[in-house]
Amino acid sequence: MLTRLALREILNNRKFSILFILNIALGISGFIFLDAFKQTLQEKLSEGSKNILTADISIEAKNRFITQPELKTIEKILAKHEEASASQLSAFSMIAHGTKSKLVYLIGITDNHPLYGSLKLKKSGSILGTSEKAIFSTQSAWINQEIAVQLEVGIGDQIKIGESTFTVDDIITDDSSNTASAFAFAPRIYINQAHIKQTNLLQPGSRFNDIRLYKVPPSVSIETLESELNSNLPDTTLRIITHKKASQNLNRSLTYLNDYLGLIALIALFLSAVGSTYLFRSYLASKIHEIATLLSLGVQPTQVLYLYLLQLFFLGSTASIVSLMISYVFFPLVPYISSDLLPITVQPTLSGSIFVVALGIGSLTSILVCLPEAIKITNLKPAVLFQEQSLKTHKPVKQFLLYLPLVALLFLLAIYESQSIQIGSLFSVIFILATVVLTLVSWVIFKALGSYTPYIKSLQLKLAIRQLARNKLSTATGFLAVSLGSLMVCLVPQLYSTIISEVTTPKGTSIPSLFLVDIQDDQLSDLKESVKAAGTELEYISPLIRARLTQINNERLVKESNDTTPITREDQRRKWVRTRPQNITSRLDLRSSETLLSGRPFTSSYDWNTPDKLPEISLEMRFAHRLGVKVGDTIGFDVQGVEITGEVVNIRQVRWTTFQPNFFILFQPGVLDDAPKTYLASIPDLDTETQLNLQRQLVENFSNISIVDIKQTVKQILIILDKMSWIIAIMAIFALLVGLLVLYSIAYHQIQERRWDISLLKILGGSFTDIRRTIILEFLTLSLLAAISGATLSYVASYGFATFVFRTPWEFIVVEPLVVVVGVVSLSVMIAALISQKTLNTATRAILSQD
Amino acid sequence: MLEINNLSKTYRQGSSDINVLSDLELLVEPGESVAILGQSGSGKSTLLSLVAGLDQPSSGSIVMNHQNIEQLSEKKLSEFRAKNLGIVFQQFHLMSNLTALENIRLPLEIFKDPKAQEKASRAIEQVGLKHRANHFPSELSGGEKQRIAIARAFVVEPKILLADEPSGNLDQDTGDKIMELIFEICRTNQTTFILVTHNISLAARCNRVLVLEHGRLNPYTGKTSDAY
Repeated sequence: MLTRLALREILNNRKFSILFILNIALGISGFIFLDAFKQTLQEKLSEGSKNILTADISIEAKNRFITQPELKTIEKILAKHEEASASQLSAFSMIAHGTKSKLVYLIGITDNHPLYGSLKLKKSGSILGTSEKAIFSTQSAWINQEIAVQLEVGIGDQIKIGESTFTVDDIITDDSSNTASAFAFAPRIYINQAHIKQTNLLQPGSRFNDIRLYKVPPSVSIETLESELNSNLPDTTLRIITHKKASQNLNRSLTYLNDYLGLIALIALFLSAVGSTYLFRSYLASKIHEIATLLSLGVQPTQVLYLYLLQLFFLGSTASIVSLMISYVFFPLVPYISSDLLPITVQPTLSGSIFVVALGIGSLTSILVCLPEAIKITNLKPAVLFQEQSLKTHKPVKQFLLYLPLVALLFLLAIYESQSIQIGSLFSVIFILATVVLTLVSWVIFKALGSYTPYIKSLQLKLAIRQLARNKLSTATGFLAVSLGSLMVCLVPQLYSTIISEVTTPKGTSIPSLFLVDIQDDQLSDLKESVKAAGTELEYISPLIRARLTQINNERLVKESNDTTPITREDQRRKWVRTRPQNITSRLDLRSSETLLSGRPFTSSYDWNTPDKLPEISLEMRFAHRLGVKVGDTIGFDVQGVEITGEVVNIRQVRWTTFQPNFFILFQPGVLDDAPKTYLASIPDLDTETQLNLQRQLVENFSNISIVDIKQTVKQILIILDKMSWIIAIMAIFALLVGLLVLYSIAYHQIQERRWDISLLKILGGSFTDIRRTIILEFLTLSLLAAISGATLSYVASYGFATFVFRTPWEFIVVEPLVVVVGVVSLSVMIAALISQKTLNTATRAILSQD
Repeated sequence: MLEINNLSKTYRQGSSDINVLSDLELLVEPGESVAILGQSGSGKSTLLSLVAGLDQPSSGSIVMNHQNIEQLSEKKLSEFRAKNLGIVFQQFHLMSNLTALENIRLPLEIFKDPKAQEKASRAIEQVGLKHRANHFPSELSGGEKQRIAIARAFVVEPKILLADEPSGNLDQDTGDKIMELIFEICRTNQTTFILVTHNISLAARCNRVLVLEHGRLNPYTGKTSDAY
């Protein structure tokens, strides 16, 4: 009976039901959309993961060759399972053709490449592991399409790789293992692995990877093999990667963006919750006599409560379906949006699990947000049928406790979306704080305005302000919805502007033209001369020494089992930073891009006559945080076979956006002077022609040095940032639209409630125009003050982000927030005008009807 | 003062026409009080709406103070109504967000009367609620609300007062006091008074009692103890 009654109530109160459903549906559709995208991306990458890795399992040694004992161990474990194997040697290198040169990723393959997937070539078509390959019969190369375009080189042309010349045999049109997307800046070249020696690129200190790839039967457990290999190969510079892990790594960058978008979607959900609560409150107030009637007929209060919770459940579930439909409408946009950010095309689909998530969030949200209001039913007495009474609240403490499940849900969702306890908690606290601040602001503003009304000459404005000042709940709700939405939309361009200006023109410095890496010790003086001859100087020459972390505070670091999947973002970073090989440098003084945050500067060069004193180390701020290390801690390194332990004497902040060469780990001079090293340096800002000429000359004379075009890199970063900010802006606008829907709901309800007042004004002599003007002034005032408050808070937030999170100078921008404020106010006024028109057109005689 | 000639009003309901008023005639002299009785659904509210200019007749004319009101534009009609008519409702219909004094002042403020505050203060005193001037309708009793509504109706010094069951939502004692107040003010101000009511004994206090039946007004011929 209750179910039937609940459904009938929903159908008989169509306007409330539709508005409520729309509010919840819009609120959760952001989540559904992002979840569907994430899931489809993961599925797509998993499906193609073997093609991406070109193997079931790979073993990779960074900056060294895999040793014979290691190879023996690998063979011992894999021999009985191996169906096929291959190897690769890969390195960054410069290539040149004519006057042009470019940084590429050089991959030396064996003749059974790829074990999975294929390479599509312009001339030869699809190349499989079994195909015959021309690069094995001649000294030739397959180049990526981008290289062909940028170097203006075609099939049959000669290119210089290191100290050797190769003929372009073919051009790659599709490479299933190419995980490069907009995030990579060195396109691929394939050559015969045996020809790498001729290039003379692999010198001591050079950066390269030695990779062994294995194909095993489907029946073999990859995870078991991985675990066994990790246990028997403890060196942390040797990485074991399964095809599943490879696709997850590719996914990481986009997952970060997805997670932060999820937080914005959470704001939209909160706004929709605010609107839904308001609607339900008003709906319940209108039902007071019906509820009292049910109670007087003998229905238990808990049964009546159940009736309304059932309605909320049905409404929430319907909203879930609507949200799925809304998300589905926007799915076709995804390939277009993500094309520059992903190497594969992702077209989201709706799976069973997405449907379940939507249903769960929809019904749970609608029940939890309305529960504090619904529970008031248990307080109602049937005597209300004979008198005027409103639904009474419980005591403040009990009422507060009823909101706790909602707050808990907010926290959990924030942590789930951001995949970080720290970020999720911080977000929740800031969000709750913003809500409280904005609510207080609205109370203060409208109370002040209300006291000023006796002095207002215009009757329409007076009535509008009084309406806002004296209806605290609806005013605060509408204010909050619009201000939060405005805050989100205003914040995005400010953050974008701050980041962009820092990337393009960091204050007090100019970005270098070129970055030089892999400079050998014996090349340094000749290189300086060459650069000087070109009319410029080498800057920030920094030694680079390769090392491994061995211990922190005398606790040896062991290779963590790959069975333990990091749960949070913090866990992922901690694991990553402890296991990867480290690049260390040595220098006495801080650079202009560095600021000492804690501790003290290095005293002087290390004195080997004081063996009791540990060498001094400086760590970059974020690196130290990830490592879990502070001033006073000790860190041990294996520097090419020599164990060195140092003490952290300071933590510094580095402004990476200056593109000055810098390192996470800095040793005091005198400690690593004899360690095998290469150098890196930068060349200051040059005009394009000088830069190109110098680059070509360096490639010709110093073929092993990798040269990164910083300006080109910055351009690519800007493209990516632009795309990302566009995506974030869309989500923020979505949050604002939800806010405006909430405003529409409030306006609709308010004007419906005030139809007697509106009719009365007409009877008393008010014209259509005057009454419409009053309503419009009311919503104009509300939306203007709310939008300005939101914009103001966005300035505070962007200042906080710039100063304390990004640690960059803050940019004050006016145009975008102004556009947002004007846009929001215009839309709000349109909403008010639209709704009031319908009510004004209703025959005023209805006020006189006694029937 | 008020002259209604051949007034008809027809509503379309679905595919059929409902004739609520048919060739209704009425003449009310200045200062006269007229009670209109009628069953539920007889068309009393329709008649009041037409007299108040809130609806358009299907045919006929309504002349008030020598002005044919259905010929006025919306704007002129609003002005005319505000200056010449006062209406008291059964449901009181006060603006919930305005105080008692602000409710009374409202019609004067609509026409930018420079003495709005003064007149409103006088009116609230006249109905004996000066001490409740800053209270909101939700804080007033039924009788107090109706007294504020009466003050609001009279503050513009209307030529005609329309009252739609003004004591219908009040207890006997309060209702009697309210009606006494209305009659008193009408007498003092020589206001033409049209009262719509079910209460025959109340109707009997007026100069004339009419019955609205079958779309027309006829003199009431029954006893005061009859019920409508």
